[in-house]
Amino acid sequence: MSARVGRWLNTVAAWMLGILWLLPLLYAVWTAFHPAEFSTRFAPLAPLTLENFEAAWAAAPFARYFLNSFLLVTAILAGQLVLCTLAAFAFARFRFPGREIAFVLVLVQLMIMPDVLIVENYATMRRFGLIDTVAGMALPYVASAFGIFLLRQAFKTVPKELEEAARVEGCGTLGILWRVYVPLARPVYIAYALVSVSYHWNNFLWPLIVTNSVETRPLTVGLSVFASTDQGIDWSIITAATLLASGPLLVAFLIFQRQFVQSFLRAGIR
Amino acid sequence: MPKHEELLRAPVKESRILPLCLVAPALLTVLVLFVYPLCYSLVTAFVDKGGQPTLGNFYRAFEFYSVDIGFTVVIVTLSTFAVGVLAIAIGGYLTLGECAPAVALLRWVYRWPLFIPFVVAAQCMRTFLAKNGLMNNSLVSLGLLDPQSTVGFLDWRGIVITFVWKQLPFVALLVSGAMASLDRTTIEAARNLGAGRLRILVEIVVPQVRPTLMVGLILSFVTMMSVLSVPIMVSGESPTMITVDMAFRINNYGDYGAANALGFISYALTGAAAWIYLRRGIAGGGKP
Repeated sequence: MSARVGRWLNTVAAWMLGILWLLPLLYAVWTAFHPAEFSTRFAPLAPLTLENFEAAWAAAPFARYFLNSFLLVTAILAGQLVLCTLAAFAFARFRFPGREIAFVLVLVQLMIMPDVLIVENYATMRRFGLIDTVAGMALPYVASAFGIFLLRQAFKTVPKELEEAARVEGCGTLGILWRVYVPLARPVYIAYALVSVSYHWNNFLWPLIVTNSVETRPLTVGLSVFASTDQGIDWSIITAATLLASGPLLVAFLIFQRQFVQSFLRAGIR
Repeated sequence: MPKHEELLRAPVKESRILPLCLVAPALLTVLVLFVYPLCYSLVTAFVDKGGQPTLGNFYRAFEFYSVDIGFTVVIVTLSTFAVGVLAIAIGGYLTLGECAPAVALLRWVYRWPLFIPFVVAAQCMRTFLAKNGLMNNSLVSLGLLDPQSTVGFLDWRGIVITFVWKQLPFVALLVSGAMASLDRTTIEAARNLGAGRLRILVEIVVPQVRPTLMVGLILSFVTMMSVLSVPIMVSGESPTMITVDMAFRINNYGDYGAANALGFISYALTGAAAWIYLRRGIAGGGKP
């Protein structure tokens, strides 16, 4: 009997904590789907509406912002996967002059977020003529220290015998990387890709600095328009815009959450 | 590690050109877009507008923003600590919890904020935690709070709540992943000897996942140190965080010297935290 009561209490407490945890998000959903007069008032029978989404969609070119964010995360991820794979493979499997210094240089990036270097990076991008371009937004992030470190650790766990067997079968070095190392590190790639996409979809400061037109501005920067005082404080529209911005990631998470969590469990990030 | 395994793990001696070619693209990017701006900002922090060496930028940074520097350290440390404790609690409950529906619910719920951008999280919290926001209005309508005594949380508490809400899923995901991959026999043995769940968590589980926890916490610490949107949107008042001061010096005064000095202080702080991670990573993962 007491075990059953304990189980019941556990479940109730979990539900309460769960609701409390999701409350800001639930609040955003509530406000976005209800008229403005219910934005700070909870009434179960309040009428539902999509007008806030219409207003938010009309107030900013969201379709373009979505495309820009998609291009941005795709460019960054593609660059990271290529650069990090090649560098991690070299660090994990080869001995070459300056290896230690090069690895320390890469790892120092972990200590310092690129955001604090925005002033100088802005000047560099201006010299390259990359201001207000997707490449300008993406370049500072393509040589990810986290990615190189993570993949290097994963590559170091690949049995040497597999590499030797592939070599006997006639694989060259890059063939071994492509056919042996990359497939075996798949969970790490998936976990890393999800973290990277999530981070860069959400990135705000650098894109804010380096973009100045609708043609390149990503969603997060577009969303900041709603936070400015000259827009007035209409929380219903703000939260509708907020949901529009984070919606794709949330939907993707709903669809892929099993694979996502399994990848993290298998990746063994340490 | 046995000697024959060490031999198997030994790096291959091959062409010297190939590994350099493999590393070159990443290294070139790091040099141009990280090392160079870092060195340049370090130099700029130590020279005046005429190019003469000076500590004036640091004097100015400390004169105007010493409270903000302390505030930043306190806020980020407090948030990191809270994230750590809650991540252990979540991971522990997911690993040792005996009530299947509660475990399933917690597993489903805790990850959601991972995919919310900081700017969106700040937006949600700004409207949720305000004096006349939904939280207070709901408490008032439930009769739990007097309308006259409502208090907004749009200050340091709002920043900490937002940071914890946003960063906890990432660390909890890493920690619960590490906990799930632990050898269950030690946990079962402790259970058979009569150890309670809390004792098993503190004395058996947490020590084994400590490296993963540290990775998550240090990455969170560095991330929170560099966030601009949360302190700007959640707490518009003073004291504020270093990132806001940097933006203010640049936007209002064009004072790149003081901004770089603040940046230097910021990455000295994150560097100290990340060094712990690197030292452990190098010790655990072999020499770089």
